Amino acid sequence: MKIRILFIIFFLPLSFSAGQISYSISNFLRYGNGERSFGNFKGEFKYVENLTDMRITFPYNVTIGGRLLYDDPPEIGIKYKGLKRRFIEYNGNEFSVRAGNFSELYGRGLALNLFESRGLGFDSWMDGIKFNFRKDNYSVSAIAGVLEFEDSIEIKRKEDYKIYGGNFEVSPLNFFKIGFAYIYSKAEFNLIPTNKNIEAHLPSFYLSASNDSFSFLFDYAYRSTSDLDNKNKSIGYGIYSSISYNEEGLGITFDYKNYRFDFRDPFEKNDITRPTRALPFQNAPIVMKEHSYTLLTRSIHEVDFNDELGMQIEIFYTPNETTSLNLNASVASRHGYYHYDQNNFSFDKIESVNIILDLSKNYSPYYEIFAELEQNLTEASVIKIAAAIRSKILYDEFFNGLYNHKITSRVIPIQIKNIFSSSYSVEFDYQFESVDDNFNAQQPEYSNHFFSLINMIDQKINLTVRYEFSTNRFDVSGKRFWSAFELGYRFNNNHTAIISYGKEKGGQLCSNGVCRYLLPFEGFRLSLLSSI
Amino acid sequence: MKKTILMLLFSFLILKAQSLSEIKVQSIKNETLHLKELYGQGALLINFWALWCQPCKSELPHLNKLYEKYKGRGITILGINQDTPKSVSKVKSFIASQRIDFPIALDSNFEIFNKFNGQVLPYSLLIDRSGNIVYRHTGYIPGDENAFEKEIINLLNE
Repeated sequence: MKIRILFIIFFLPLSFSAGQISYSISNFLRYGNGERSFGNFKGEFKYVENLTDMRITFPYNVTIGGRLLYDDPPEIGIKYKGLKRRFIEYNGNEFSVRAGNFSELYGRGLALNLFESRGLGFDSWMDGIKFNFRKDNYSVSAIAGVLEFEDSIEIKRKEDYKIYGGNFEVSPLNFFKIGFAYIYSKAEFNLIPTNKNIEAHLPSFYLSASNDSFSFLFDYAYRSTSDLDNKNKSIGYGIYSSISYNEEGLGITFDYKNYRFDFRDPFEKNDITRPTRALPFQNAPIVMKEHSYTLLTRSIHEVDFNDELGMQIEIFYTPNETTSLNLNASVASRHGYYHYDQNNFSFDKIESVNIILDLSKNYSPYYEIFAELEQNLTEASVIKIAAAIRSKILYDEFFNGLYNHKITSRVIPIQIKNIFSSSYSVEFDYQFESVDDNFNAQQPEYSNHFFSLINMIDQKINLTVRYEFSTNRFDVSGKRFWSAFELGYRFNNNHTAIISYGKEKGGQLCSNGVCRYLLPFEGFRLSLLSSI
Repeated sequence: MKKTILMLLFSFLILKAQSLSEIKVQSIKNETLHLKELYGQGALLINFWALWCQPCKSELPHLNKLYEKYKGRGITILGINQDTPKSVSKVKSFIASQRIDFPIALDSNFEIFNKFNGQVLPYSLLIDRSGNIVYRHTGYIPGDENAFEKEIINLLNE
């Protein structure tokens, strides 16, 4: 006991002060108090989230760390109070090992992509052990552990996975790499009235080649899932590929996706608890543009990893120092559809054996075209103008296309930024959206308008005013006008506080194919970010 | 047993910590970059950024200017991209189009970002030649590049 006390009193502080142990801590506090609404339903809503991430690195590259989490309740997700994550890891020159919680990515994530998005209440980190070995032109990694996946957003889902896997990569030539991965998982789905047990095998391989101008990548994953209770088996696959050409001032990337992990009839497709769908540790590229304009971040298309084909081209072109162009076009469709046979009361599967997508309405097509011009008007001012058109048809398989959902959105954002001095700048943003939505039956055509004015003062203060209105009289929030005020302040480089008050519209936000509808919120928010 | 453990711990502690020395990243040019080699040249400014992050994209040209100005004096800038697999294929194209000259690495599953306890983007760290983090910076407001330059000059003058 005495030795322990002596150690704590003398050696530990000495070691810290001598730089022999390094540490880092970050803390993120979020608090909100107000009202959430859905149509005419309103309810008081208060959330408190505090997240503390800490790491202590000892000599010999040993690190321990953890996350202390207080989510009671969180804005999105499930209540949690306690040590959410903990780990100990060793990072050597060639070898690293970590026990505890970890994320991992094999290839482009078709077989394994463990990630967290707190904004969407999604967390697929594992608890177990992983190791990596890298030497010269090859690397080996392995994982073993459990994933307790919970999703409370749509329906209470609790799924317990045991996951074992490995990955081998070799680069026989400097510009060429090939990798193989294998994942085995056994899981129990806690469902009402009975639990389900599954077993899944996911072998995958990928290869990439690149030089200064060209890059190419191909990733393939096969998945076989067995429902151990009903002895059903589902077999599927996913393909992702990208090719890019780059030179000074110009970059062109073309992506292709073909995800057919679990093509199902309309009843099974809409059953989010079905055990054969893409598993939460699989998160492949979405092959769609990720936007930063507010109205475009409200997605109208939810990627379905079980059944979707698509492609995308993105061009970045900077002809000179003052002008930048960004063009993007993406399209997607399903592999097929089901035709309802009214005589036999059954669904007939109609599937085209395609690697090229089909944009006819039966295949639920989606497309988006986006163009953006950024022009420096003077050394201190810049204007950005963009235009986007997005269109989706969701084929109605229950009534053979009688009630297809068609939605088209055209968005024009304009952003002007002016730097008046080294300590004062202003950014003005206006975004216009015109929508045709046949499911908004009483008013299929409407428009949305978004304004924001940001004042940035002395590199410390951020004053923002946001105002938004919609001509849609049937918006899900029950409102047509939203306004909010936000004040951000940097105490120093390590602490930032943001307070806001007002009404926020919410909307569907997506990340890595996971989408959440964020409910409208009216009230006060505070966030405090600290990092030392 | 306890004494043995404490003795072992103590023997670890009297050695010099190498917290950042073993961190390696993969650049978009297929090179393995050792942080130790980068900060060992003088100092290293690490900038975590992503394609979906508008302030990050506004900040990059300013960092490029700093890189051009100070690279001859041992200062290196390393951009660590935080795009997930959904957008990571576009990173090289974007960097080429923007004529960014400093090295860019990929961190698609946030492994390096987590090692530095990052929470939001953009996130920048200045590391001295001994491997100590001497400056952290979150977010980007026009003019922040002047603060980076001031810190770099402070390091050069030490």
